[in-house]
Order: sequence, then C-alpha cells, then structure tokens
Amino acid sequence: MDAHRLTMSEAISLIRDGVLTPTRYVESLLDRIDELEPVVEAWVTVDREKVLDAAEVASREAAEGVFRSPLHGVPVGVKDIYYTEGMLTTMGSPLFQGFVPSHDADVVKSLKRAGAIVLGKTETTEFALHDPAPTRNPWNTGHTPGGSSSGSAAAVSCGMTPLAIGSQTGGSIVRPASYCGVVGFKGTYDLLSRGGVYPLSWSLDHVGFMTRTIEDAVLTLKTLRPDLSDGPQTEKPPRLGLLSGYFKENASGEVWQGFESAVGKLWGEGAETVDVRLPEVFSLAPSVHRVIMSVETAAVHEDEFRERADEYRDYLKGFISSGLLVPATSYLRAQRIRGLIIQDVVRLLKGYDALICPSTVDTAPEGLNWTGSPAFNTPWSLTGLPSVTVPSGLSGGGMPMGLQLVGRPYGDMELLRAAAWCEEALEFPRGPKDPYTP
Amino acid sequence: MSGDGEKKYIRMVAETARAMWGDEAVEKFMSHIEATAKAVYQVGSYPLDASTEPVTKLRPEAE
Repeated sequence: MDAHRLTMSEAISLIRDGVLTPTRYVESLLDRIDELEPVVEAWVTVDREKVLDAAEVASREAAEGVFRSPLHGVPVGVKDIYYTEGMLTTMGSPLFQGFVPSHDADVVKSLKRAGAIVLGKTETTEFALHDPAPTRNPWNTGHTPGGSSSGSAAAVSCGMTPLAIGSQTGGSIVRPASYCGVVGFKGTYDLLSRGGVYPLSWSLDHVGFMTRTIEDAVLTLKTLRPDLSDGPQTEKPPRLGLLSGYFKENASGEVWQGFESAVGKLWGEGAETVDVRLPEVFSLAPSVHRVIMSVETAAVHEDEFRERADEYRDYLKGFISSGLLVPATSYLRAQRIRGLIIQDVVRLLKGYDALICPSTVDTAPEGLNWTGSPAFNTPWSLTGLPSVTVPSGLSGGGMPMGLQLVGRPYGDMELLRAAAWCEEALEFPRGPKDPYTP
Repeated sequence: MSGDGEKKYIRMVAETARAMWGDEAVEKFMSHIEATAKAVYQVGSYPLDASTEPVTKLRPEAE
C-alpha cells in the first residue's frame, strides 16, 4: 500500500480498523521523504530513530485498542520556528545553528499528547520573514513554494506528510498552501497557543496548519481545540460575500479569471454569492500592517541585532532597521486604525458564512529568490480573522490557484464548514503531487 | 494627503538613518526605509476620532 497517497482521514480510518499500523504509515512516509527530499528540500531535520520509536509506541497502543485522539499515529511536520524538545530548531537562521530546545511548543505538546508523531522540522524562511528557504514547489521545482512556511506546504503537497504545522504573520500559511495546491488554515488570533513559537511580530503571529483536505483540517483543529463547538449542522449551501475592490485591482489577470470561474462553479452548485463593498479604511490595511510588523519585529530582535547584525540576512536586516526608525506614536496610531478596520470588517461579515477572494495575487513565482506577495493575506493577519485556502484550479502554466475564505472571529468551525462545501464544489484533485521538473 | 509631504517625510527618515548607521547601510536598506516611512506617513495622515474609535478587539459586540 502506498500509504503516502492517503489523506489523513483515510489513514486514520485504516489505523482504527487495524489495516495500517502507525509504524507502517511512518515507514511509507520516510521512504517518500528519502525519494523526494533531494529535489524538494522541505526538511531541516528528520530524526528517523526518534520517529520510528514514537511510531512503535503508537502502534503498540493501537494494537491494544488505545487511541489517544483521532490523530493517534498520524505523522506531522513542524515548522522550524516551533520549539521541539530534544530536536534541532534553527528558526532558519545561523544564529540558532545547533540550538536544541529543552521543551515543546504548546501546539507540539498537544499533538504529541494526542498520539501524533513528529516526523521532523520543516524549512522556514529566516525567522519566518522573507529571506527564502531552499525548498522547491512540487508543482514545478523551478518555482517557489511560497513562504514562510515553505517546507510545510511543499511536504504536504507531495505526500511526505499528511499534516504540517505553520505560522502566519503576513501570508505565511495561506500563500504557500495556495501555491502548493493544498489546504492552509490559520485560526482566529489567539485560538491556538503561540507558546514556544519564536515570535516575528507578537500581535500579528498566528498558529495554523496545512493538510490536503478540509476534513483533515477539521480533525486537526478539533484535536487541538476539543472545546470548540461544531455549531449548527446544515447541508445548506453557504452565503458568500465576494470581495473585489482591493483584490481585483491587485490580482493578476489569470488569478482573477480563475477566481471568477471558481465563483461560477460555487454559484452553479447553489451557493449564494453577493458582491460586498470593502470599508474605506480597508485601503490602509497594508500600511497599518507594515508599521506594526516592522516595529514589533525590530523589538523582537533589538538586543541580538545590536550585537550580531552581520549574522542576519539582508531582507530581515533592512526590515529591522526600518522598524527601529518608527516613532512610538505612529505604532500606536497604526494599532488604533487597526481597531477601526477590524470593527468595519466584522460588521461586513454579518449575514455571510464567509467572505471570499483569491488566496494570492499571482501563482507561485518562478525562481527561489523570493516567496511571492502576501498582499491578499496580510489583511486577515492584521484583523485576526480566521482564514483558509482551498485549491480551486490550475493556471495555464499548470500552477495551483486557491480560493480564500475569511470567517468571523472565533467562527473557525463554521468557516471550515463553508470551506468543505466549496472544496466539494470545486473538485480539485486531493492526491499528492509527484514533483515536476521541466 | 500631499505627495510632497510624503516625499519630505521619507527624506527626513532617510537622513535620520544616515546619521545613525552611515551612508553604506542606508543605501543598502533604502527600499525598506522608504517603504516603512511611506506606511508611517499614510497612517499618520488618516484622521482619527478618539471619542468614537473602538479599542482593538475581536469578540463581536453584544447587541
């Protein structure tokens, strides 16, 4: 059995039925990693011995009928800015070369407690900002997978793992997930603990993950937050607010066409789609985001930067330098305007199951020197609203495009329900992508 | 918002950066300095009314 081809939910079902053991599952994924890693470069660390030991424990428990959670025996990739006990954690920076934390990040702890198996650490851009990781996009290895959760998106896309943890401050989950043709979810700000995650910008950092299906994302969220209610169950097609304005103005022609075609499909399947007008203050979102993030990033790194500036790569160095020049009153003014944007967008969400727009400005750019524009994701990191990307189609060049859904604060489960409906209507293939090199 | 005002502000920030870090560093990071200074100027030009603005929060208001 090619277990790497299974979605997480399919694998879970086979593990429950005793047809697949966690050990066999992990071995299959390790084989997949061995085969593809030289091309995709998604991993910083894979500790085979530790992984197989953990899988053995999960297999023994499963054989005895002990299942710690729905995720029992499920392998997971963890972005390399999350602390992992006894496992190298580099933050994508030479400053942390050889750093091995003595404890797990809260999310990692929860996943381990749930019986999930940490397969290894996935590549990140430097400190989750911009300077790229070596990872390649499985859909075309000459293109970026996006960032900063580059390794997580690429690894899920090509079937090295069914689940990978990422983080988003600007567009670091939704963008790479969309570029790599997988599902990427970031919860409402603070829904999932940031404890043990190296900060980039405290008030903008979000925890989230990538999977190949929305069903797998729901299972993951329920495991991490078992207290979340499913909300009222309904088969009714969702009512969707279509965002244009800023998004139409900034999208490439092909992405906007793809978005319109996806909306047509959703409408054809019975979704109610209504054009909504963005509030005037929304146009300030990119500037407000930039001011807040540059200051907070500068504050995170201020001490280290004073002593070791030469060990930072160029983009981060420039970004920190610019943040150090922002007056305190400007930072606070940006936070006050942020409040207005949140208020107006939350009002806009009333009456809709989700707002929708393209997940990215363009498809994954060619080359590995930059990770693409986060312009369609930063507004949702700024407002803290939950967002998710569902693969929606392919460009003429064969690169994936995504539909981004945005929900109301703490309406994460309702958002995923609307996303599941869209996923079914859009019918994007769910199998792993075998890397393509032209 | 005046385009001249924005340019003047960016120039002023660049001069401050030059005084702090020297010409070479400022040339290297000019695109960052400009982009952030531009964002600061835009944020600074947006009128705010402290008596009506909300605090930053995510929970929907009770109605």
